[in-house]
Amino acid sequence: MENKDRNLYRLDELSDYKVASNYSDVRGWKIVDADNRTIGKVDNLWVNKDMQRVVYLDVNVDKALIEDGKREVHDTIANENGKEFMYRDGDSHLIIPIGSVTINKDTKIVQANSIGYDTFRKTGRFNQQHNFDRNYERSVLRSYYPDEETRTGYDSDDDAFYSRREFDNR
Amino acid sequence: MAEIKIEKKKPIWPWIVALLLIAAVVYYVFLRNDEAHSQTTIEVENAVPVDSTAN
Repeated sequence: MENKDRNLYRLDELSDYKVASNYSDVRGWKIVDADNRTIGKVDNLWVNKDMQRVVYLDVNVDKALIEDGKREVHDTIANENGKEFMYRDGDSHLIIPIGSVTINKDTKIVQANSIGYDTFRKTGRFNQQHNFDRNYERSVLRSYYPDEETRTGYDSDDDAFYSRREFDNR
Repeated sequence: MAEIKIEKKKPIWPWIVALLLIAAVVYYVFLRNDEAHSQTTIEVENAVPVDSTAN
């Protein structure tokens, strides 16, 4: 399912939209994990046009994390059937649900709540040129929240998918 | 937990139209003042001087 079928757009694709007043435009800000280790930089904002809000932060992942991840994948392929996360060169982006982070306006740092560096390292990445589909979204949420698969909306292909705690400001 | 809302950008063309209108009004007002001032100056220059020595 194409991103547009899911009402999902990069904010810079929507020339007539902007981050609302009193909200922070975090593009370019550093993003860190729950222990303040650098994950990368927020490269873009994925928005749901119908919901009129950001649902994912698009993160350009730090090279160090990518290198660490490559070592992990090599081990996984050697030891198990590691098809789920076969990386290609150029797969340097990952998404983080907006409700999974905290924004610090003073330091201009975004922090992922309760998601550690190792989880990010193991989470599948995508190539910015090819975007991602709903199956990738599910795999990312499984990686971040492995115990949350049975929540309502998980198997949905429409906006009900975003009716999860991970996308809400709670 | 964070939230970032988006909104539609406000169009800029109404502001441009308003500025142009203001500029036109200002220009018209000053132009009229300049013309009135020039007219008064010409009338003073063309006035016949009074002969103060005649009895």
